[in-house]
Amino acid sequence: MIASNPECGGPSIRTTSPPVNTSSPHTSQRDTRKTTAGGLFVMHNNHCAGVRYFRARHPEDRETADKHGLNPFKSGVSILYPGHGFLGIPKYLYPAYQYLGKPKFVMPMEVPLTSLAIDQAAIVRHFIGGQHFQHKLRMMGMREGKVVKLLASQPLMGPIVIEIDRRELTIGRRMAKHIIVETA
Amino acid sequence: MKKIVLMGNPNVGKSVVFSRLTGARVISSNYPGSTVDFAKGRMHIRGHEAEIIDAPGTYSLQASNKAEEVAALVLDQADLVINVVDATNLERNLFLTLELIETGKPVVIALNIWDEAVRSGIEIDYPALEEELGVPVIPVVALSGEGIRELVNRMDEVSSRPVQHPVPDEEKWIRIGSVTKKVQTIRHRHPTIRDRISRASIAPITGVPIAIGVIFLAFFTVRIIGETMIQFIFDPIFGLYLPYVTALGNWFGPGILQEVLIGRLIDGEIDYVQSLGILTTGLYVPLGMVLPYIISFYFTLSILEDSGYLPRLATLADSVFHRLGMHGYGIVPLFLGMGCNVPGALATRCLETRKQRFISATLLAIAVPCMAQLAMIFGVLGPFGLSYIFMVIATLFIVYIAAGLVLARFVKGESYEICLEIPPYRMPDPGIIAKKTWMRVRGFLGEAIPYLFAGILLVNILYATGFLDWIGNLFAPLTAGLFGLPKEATTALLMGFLRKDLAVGMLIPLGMAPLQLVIAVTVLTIYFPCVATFAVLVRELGSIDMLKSTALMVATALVVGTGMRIILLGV
Repeated sequence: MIASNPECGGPSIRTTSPPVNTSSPHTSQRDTRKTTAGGLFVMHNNHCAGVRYFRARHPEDRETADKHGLNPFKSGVSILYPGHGFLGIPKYLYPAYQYLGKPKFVMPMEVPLTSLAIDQAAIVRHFIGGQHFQHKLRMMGMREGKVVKLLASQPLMGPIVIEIDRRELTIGRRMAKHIIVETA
Repeated sequence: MKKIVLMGNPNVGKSVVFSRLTGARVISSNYPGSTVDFAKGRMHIRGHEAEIIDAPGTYSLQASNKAEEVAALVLDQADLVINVVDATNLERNLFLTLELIETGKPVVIALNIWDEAVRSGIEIDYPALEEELGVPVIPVVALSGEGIRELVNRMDEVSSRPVQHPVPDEEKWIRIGSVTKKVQTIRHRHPTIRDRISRASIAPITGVPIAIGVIFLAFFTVRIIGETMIQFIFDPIFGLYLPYVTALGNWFGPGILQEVLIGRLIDGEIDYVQSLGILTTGLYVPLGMVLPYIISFYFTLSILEDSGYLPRLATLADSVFHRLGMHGYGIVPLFLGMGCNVPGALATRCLETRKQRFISATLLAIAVPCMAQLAMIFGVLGPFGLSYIFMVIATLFIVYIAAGLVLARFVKGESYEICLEIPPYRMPDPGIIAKKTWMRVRGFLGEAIPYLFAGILLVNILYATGFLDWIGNLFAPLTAGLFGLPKEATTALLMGFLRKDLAVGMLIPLGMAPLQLVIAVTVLTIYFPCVATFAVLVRELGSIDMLKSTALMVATALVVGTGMRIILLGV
């Protein structure tokens, strides 16, 4: 699906997520909001899910974004550092790191579920997988827009345990890698 | 007769509602997938008899495993559907509800676990929910029976409706979101002590030591309760019984009747284990040796099941089980199989793919002795020292892991990852624990005693006709040549097909050395399941897969038996 994103400078942004169940009491509000750390990131309804354009593995997307003036030093976008201590850089150095120059890449704000730290919460954005896989997850209560929290991660590539709707769910690691969440 | 089907997500209390409605006793547990087949019962509604069917839990009508296929098939027969919904997880449960309403069948909703929802700060406006869905909604607490009467009274209110055109899943979720927003309010609550225990038992650093402790404690409990019952209840009873059965034997006098009913006298006296008479060994083995351990095992298992610990154990064990071609849930058939292989074989239905089911069932048949056999192994090898029992258990453990690794590598097919809901911890109800233990013990008695009588009768007949000598000579190269056992052990090995506990008992009179006994009981466990398990496995796997599984069992027994002979007895 292609949707325009007027607030982010106008590039076409691809949103792959199915419609989100916005009416659930568990579902987060998807209205416009801005981050405060960089003061730059904008998210409006579902459109800015396309910030993952900046991922290094999508150079063509990055070019498109640059072309439209969508870069970390212009209003409308921020660098997002998920988790604790990205690349070992302490959190208090993040602002300094930003002003050292244009970053090599911008960390995606959408990450696989397995990337969360223990006790970190995130919002389920979309699934990468076939219909059966998606159906199964949704049946277990894992749906787009839900807030999940990582409770435990088993060693030896074992499963992870998450909390969703006050329920605990064990999910195999390969499956979890195909669940994309948005860290906040 | 009107057919009423109980449908709902896994672990929402369908079996408890079924028990309340019919008075029939079915086993329910605190983990998803405890019902893998349907159960039938009857009840009277306003003077009319109705048949109630308890279907396995399913998340939707699009089945993803064998148990869910059974649920979808059962639904076709329904004249009325009671949709059991977990009030603590309304949103997820409503998907199946909408699917059921779409089928056009009359639906009544039993909003179960109402008390827990209230306690955890979830308020549901059930009249509003009823209005939204257009079907009766009755809050119930199946465990205490609250609301069941009203559920029955309101069954008459519903009638068939036209079959609706199925709407896409996404639209259903949007509708569910809209409905739950209107009818449900969730208040914030702080983590309770139960939540903290739950966290500790799934985190690897604390969870693994807890799991080791729980398993150790469980088997310690089984042993202590079993031994105490034998010492203070069963041995004294059989001591009182001995003079009567001796007098009966004297009254019969030497002859076929004494041979069959009392058995052979050992040093002029009845030996309950070695005599092999229906009224001696036939009663003592199942009641005096095995039953105490069966009672204590099922008591402990019921506590583990109802507390909700098994899914947490499945989570911790997943890393290992995934390498064996299954996923963590494979531990459930393993645990149930340690009581009796039959429910263990049935529990493999909860695994999603053919490959997983095949591996789980084959490993169960190869390397998991049932509690009856395990009790006999303790009885036979215990007097020689615990190290011999340890040898058997360790060998079976290694075989389970090694065979699992090989099967995971070579069996074709997919092996899905675990995706399991962990239920909240619940305090096991003593009444329900006692009921479940009794139901399983009754099942054991109903199955074990007839087979044991038949086995003993068969042994006596074959012994009298000289068939046992002939078969012993026929398999002598195998038992003596490969396994280093006396040729008479062949009879016991073959009798293992009927009852493994009896077969272990038959090894005692052969006067084997302890290491030979270790080899014999290990081979006896591996080479073939008992007839009851075999019948279930044929049904679950199909005849072709069962043939493959049998070939694997025999091959493993030959390899392991020969290997043990070389290691333990020398070439």
